[in-house]
Amino acid sequence: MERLPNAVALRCTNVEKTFAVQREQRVWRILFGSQRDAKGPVIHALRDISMEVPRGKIVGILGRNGAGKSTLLRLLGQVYSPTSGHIEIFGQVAGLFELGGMGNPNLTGREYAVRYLQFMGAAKRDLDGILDDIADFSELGEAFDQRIRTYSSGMGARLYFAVATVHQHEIYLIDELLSVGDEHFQAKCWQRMRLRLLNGASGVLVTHDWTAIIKLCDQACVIEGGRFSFTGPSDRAVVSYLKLPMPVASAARFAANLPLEHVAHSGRDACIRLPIEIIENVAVDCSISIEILRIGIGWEIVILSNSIPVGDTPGVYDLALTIPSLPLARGDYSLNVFLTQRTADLGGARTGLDCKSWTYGNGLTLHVEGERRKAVVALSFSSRRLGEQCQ
Amino acid sequence: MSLHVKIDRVSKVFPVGNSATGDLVAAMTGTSEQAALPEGKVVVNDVSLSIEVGERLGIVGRNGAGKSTLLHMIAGLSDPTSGSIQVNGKVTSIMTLGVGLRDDLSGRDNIYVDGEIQGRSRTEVDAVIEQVIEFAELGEFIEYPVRTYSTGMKARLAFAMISHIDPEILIIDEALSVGDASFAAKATARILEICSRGRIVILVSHGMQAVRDICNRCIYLKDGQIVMDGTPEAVTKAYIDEVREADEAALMQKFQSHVGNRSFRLGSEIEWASLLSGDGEGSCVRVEAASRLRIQVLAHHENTDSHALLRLRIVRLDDLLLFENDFSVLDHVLDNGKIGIEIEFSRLALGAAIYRLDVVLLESAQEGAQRYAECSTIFEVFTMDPPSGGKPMLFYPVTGCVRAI
Repeated sequence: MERLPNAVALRCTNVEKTFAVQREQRVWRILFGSQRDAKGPVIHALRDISMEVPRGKIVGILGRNGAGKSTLLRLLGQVYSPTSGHIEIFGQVAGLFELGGMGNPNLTGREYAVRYLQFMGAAKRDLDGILDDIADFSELGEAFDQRIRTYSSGMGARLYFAVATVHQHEIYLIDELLSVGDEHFQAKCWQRMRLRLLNGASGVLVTHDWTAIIKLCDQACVIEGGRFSFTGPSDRAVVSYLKLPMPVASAARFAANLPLEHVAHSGRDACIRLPIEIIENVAVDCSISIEILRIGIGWEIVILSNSIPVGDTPGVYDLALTIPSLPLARGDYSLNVFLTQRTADLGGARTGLDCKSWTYGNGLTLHVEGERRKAVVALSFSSRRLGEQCQ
Repeated sequence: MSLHVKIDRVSKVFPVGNSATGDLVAAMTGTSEQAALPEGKVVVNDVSLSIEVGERLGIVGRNGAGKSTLLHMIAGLSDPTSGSIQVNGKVTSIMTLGVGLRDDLSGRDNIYVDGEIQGRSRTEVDAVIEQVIEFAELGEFIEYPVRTYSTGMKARLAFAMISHIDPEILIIDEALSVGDASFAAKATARILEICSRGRIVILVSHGMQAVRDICNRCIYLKDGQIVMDGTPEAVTKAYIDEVREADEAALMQKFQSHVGNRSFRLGSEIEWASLLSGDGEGSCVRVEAASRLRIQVLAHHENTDSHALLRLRIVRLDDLLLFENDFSVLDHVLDNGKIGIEIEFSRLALGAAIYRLDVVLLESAQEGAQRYAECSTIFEVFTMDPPSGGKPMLFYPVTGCVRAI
């Protein structure tokens, strides 16, 4: 059945983009030569790109340098036209890429903002309020009234982000932008993007930062050599993108009877038992991380502990990890465990021996029971009337 | 003579005009210098610096501190407004990546052209070209024009080219932040190798780890001036601390509308809410991770209705709620009739971040209950010893107990 066009914000069908490789004299041949002559060798920047962005969702595109990410974004932003295939866009697009696009470095920050807003059709009477918002968000201070060419790149990025996101647009095309600026500014960018998303914005986020994909996208595509090599849920896209080399697990490994699901209770002492086999004469440590992995909402390490000694002679061991009065709230967590070879120097890279982690596609889950609460964690505390001594 | 860079009382002022037309008129009438200087923007202010052989100088500073401008002047890309720069040795710079690459030439031809610019013969370039290509990891693209490259590919080519022609004075501006982690690691190793041959390397970076890994000297540039010069460890630490302090002040400023105290009902107010770290008795805003933290609140509420409560919330700055608990007002009435409460985290589990503490005096726990008063403040949890491998939400101990079977 044909879907309602309303449900889709953006659709690509079999999009292909090739660039002609410019050899010597090619310009003259294009000008004066035959059509056939002009067809020199081409580079296939993108092939067979089909995707659909549902309204209200941001779809992630993960890829390494040179995979075709930026080309795809330029196609979607109508900077390039596709060589073949169709791109359909249902709504007003705001590009958060190429840092502005309309940036004339001789404009002041304020003039740039005014130009952008007028281009986007903002009413004149609203401008003052919007400009105040931009000046405030971008934290440019008096530099807001100075020329963009006097800005450092970070200041420029803050301006462009503040301007492009000041309004609720229907579709955002985002290129790495959220990785600009210091931590404090990034947190602000995230909050604003999330707000736009909550209000029904759609978009595409192109990045090599997989944590950004997990935070913002339910669905993601992995692009490799100009093609989508994977399309699906974000966490699986990350596994496909990272392609982490699985340790051979010959020196030490988690035993086959390692339970995939572990259960604990919020606020009580938690115990996670890991059966481990050491096969060769190596000193083995275990590391553990408990992570929140909520696709489209966020990924965050909650508890991390490195280098818990297991043993240094071959044998079968039972490692009991204890977390006193478990500070996790009710819910499912991703439990990741790693076996590493202990090295003499502290700074040295640890050699991985075996691992069970969602980033390898073989993670464990920790199911925490307890009462529902609003906070994401359950911190233990004591309280008393002010001035009374603690017991 | 040995390599060195000597910068003597250098300043750079960018004219800040009011309009493009005005600038043009000024330029045409030859009045630009006189007219623009007084209201110019001083980007580098009276900097003196001397860099000797074998030094790997890191330059740190906030956005707009003048780092790039200083590098541009050392590289000879722009002239200082006043002062002198004396450079002994050939400067090779990786600035804005890809500048210096000729778009229409293939990657391979670019390597030759660049070699010639650097004064190398074709045979000399031939000797290293395969290494360069391998290092840049461009594959078949090396035969294609550079304009078909992505940003990351240009960066890799530029870095590979420059690092293989045996530079004397190498200037790198944020170049390592482009490209993925594996290339960054390779580039770092390469720079260390160059340095070991007694060259000068100048690196500008926002990545403190890169500065600590690569450099053996570091300066901290602030508002165009050198405010610190020393070992990378000491300077990066001072920089991070100062940025944090400035951020904290800025945050307090920023959240002025949030940080504060409001009463919505006559006779109800939160007099103060303060944080006490360790065994200290003074209120603080910075708390060390895994230490003892007490939060004290003193409030005033005239009629002690039985449902009224104090709600304490700890929210991380990106709006993540980490703690919320309600305390009955009736249970915490002091002898003088005020309401006082102290809560204690004997070993604060919160990870390093900035948080907001909200204290709300509420009519009841029900949804939509009336707020009588509220008070918010900002605090930061810091750690001297961050764990490797990630930035966890909580610092919490996990203990292991092994039993051989």
